[in-house]
Amino acid sequence: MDKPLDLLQGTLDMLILKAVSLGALHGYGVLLRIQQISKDRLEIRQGSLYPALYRLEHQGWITSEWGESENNHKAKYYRLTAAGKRRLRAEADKWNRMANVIAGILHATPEEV
Amino acid sequence: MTLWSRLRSWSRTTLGRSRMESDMDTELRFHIEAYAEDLVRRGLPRPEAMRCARMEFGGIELAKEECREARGVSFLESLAQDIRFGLRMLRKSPGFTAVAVLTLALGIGANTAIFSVVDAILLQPLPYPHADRLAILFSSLGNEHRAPASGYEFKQIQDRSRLLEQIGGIWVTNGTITGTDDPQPEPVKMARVTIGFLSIVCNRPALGRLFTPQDAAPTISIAVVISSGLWRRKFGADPKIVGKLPTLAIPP
Repeated sequence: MDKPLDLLQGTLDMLILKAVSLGALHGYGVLLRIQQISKDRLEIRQGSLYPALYRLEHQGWITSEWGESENNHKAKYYRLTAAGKRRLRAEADKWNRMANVIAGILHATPEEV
Repeated sequence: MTLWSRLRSWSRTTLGRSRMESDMDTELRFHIEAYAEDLVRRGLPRPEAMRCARMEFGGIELAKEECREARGVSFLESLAQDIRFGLRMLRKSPGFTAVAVLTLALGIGANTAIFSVVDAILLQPLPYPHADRLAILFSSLGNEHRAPASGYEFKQIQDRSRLLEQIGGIWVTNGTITGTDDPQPEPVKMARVTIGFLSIVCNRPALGRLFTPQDAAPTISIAVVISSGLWRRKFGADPKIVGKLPTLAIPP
């Protein structure tokens, strides 16, 4: 298996929004879901996950409430807000456009220039 | 970010500080324990799993600090932190502190000195009645813009100006005066003035009188008004001096 990729700067927030858009998750669950969807090809520093969650909550993209985990522990669950939904759409759109542009540049051949 | 969520987050930070700390603690501990349990399921012994989970999480204190920052630390809190940090740094380097304090002291001192001069000269009104209505006129002669005016010039201005309410003339010179208390002649700044001059800058003298039109009569040769300082210094503050002429040497 390839060595996991480090996250690109600024993409963690978008990935967290996407992860919680699929259903409420606690912090560890966010980590697992991203790893699961990416099939372990992304390396997320666990320590950087919580500051990002707190930042997103402070900005109003996600909200949190305390609940019970699968094995009956007290855990804090994060959910996407309406503003967060709009934000995720905007971020994803921006990311796709950017990726297209970059890919276009990288695929350029001498004949096209 | 909506204003509401910002306010809510901020007020939670400020009001529920200890609550937030314990919540954060619970949340991070849950993460590490959940991860450790997963490691145990994969076959690691529990103590080993806990150690591993803690290590992979990285610096917990650092993460907490970043979380606090992300939540928006209250203004007062960060201010207090900054002040404490500043004081600690100052205590740590006394040399720098001394230089900084000295620089500030010199700067403040110099500013205070300059301001007191500017205040006295430019900002405070002159210690005369109607100080806001006083003006100085100079006569000019060739390139000299502060030339002494002639008596004739003064008379012309006095008679023809409709701008000024009262005009007095003063011609300053140096001379010596000999007092009764101290027989040593003292060089002083003295001035010849027109009758009206002193009444413009002085409501009434402490003793005696200011000049009146009689003093300008040809029969009276000289009348003198002296300053309070000179009166004390050379005449022993003698009130009976009024009406007597001191010994003066005035250049022609």
